[in-house]
Amino acid sequence: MNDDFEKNVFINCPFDPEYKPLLQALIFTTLLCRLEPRIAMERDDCGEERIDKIKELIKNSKYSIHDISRMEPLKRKELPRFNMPFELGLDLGCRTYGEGKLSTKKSLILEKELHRYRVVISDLSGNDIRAHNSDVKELIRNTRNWVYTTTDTDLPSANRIWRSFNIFSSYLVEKCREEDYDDKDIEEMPIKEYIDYIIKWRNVVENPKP
Amino acid sequence: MPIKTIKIGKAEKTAEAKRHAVGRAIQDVRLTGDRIHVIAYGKEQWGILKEGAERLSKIYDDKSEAVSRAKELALKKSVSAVVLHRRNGMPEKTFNIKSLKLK
Repeated sequence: MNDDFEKNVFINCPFDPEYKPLLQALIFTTLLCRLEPRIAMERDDCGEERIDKIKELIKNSKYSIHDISRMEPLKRKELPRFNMPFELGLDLGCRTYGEGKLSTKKSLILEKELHRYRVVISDLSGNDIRAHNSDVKELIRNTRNWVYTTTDTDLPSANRIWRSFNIFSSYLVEKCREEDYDDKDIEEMPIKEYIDYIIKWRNVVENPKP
Repeated sequence: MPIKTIKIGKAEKTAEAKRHAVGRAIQDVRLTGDRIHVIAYGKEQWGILKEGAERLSKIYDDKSEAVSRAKELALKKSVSAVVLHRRNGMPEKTFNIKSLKLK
């Protein structure tokens, strides 16, 4: 994993199965935008406390993307998830009270619906939050446009990233089948492995054999 | 389709210019595979995308219509497979060209 503060983007989002395509698209887009996604699930060390890992990722990432969509419970009688707003608070605190490079941190806050957060986290009312409506292409567009504005880097269009995401997703399944992965292996592929596949694919696409 | 590569020249040696050159290089990447994909377009439509093509070849209101057309194209252009996607971009089903020829 990259330790370059200027390129790291801390990803704070839900990990439930319903959100998985959105998470994958988010990771894919950040990598195509030449940022390095950093996510709590990238390491799997039972001896490491989750909150320590998150604090370290926040401290080592100039950029962060927070999706607070799970302020709603997924099912009736379930409780909403507070990890995402909590980690968003940690990140904003790091930017506010941190010194030097930490004060240059930039964040994107995503939500499913546009104005819902004002009811549950009214402290964010002054922030510009983008809604994706649980639509993968909308999430790609929000993320790509934010990276463009924040980093001033020339980027492929959201439409092109969306097409590439479709092609990559089918490539991944095909490649895994060739390597004898079954459905469960693919379904439960570690995030780190998913990132490694995107990087491999990107290298092949960008450096084709003559 | 030939693949364009962008080289970073002397005039682009500043850090910012390099970043922009990298961005353009990504933008000019062409995929070289030979499959045809049926992917979501807009809120409800479907498009046919051939790997290596610059844009979607045609847009359909109905997915099954897009799938039929994609299969016809696959047989005409001798591509290796037709891949159908869900609206979230995930692959749903793949038709191998051999299986299409048998029908």
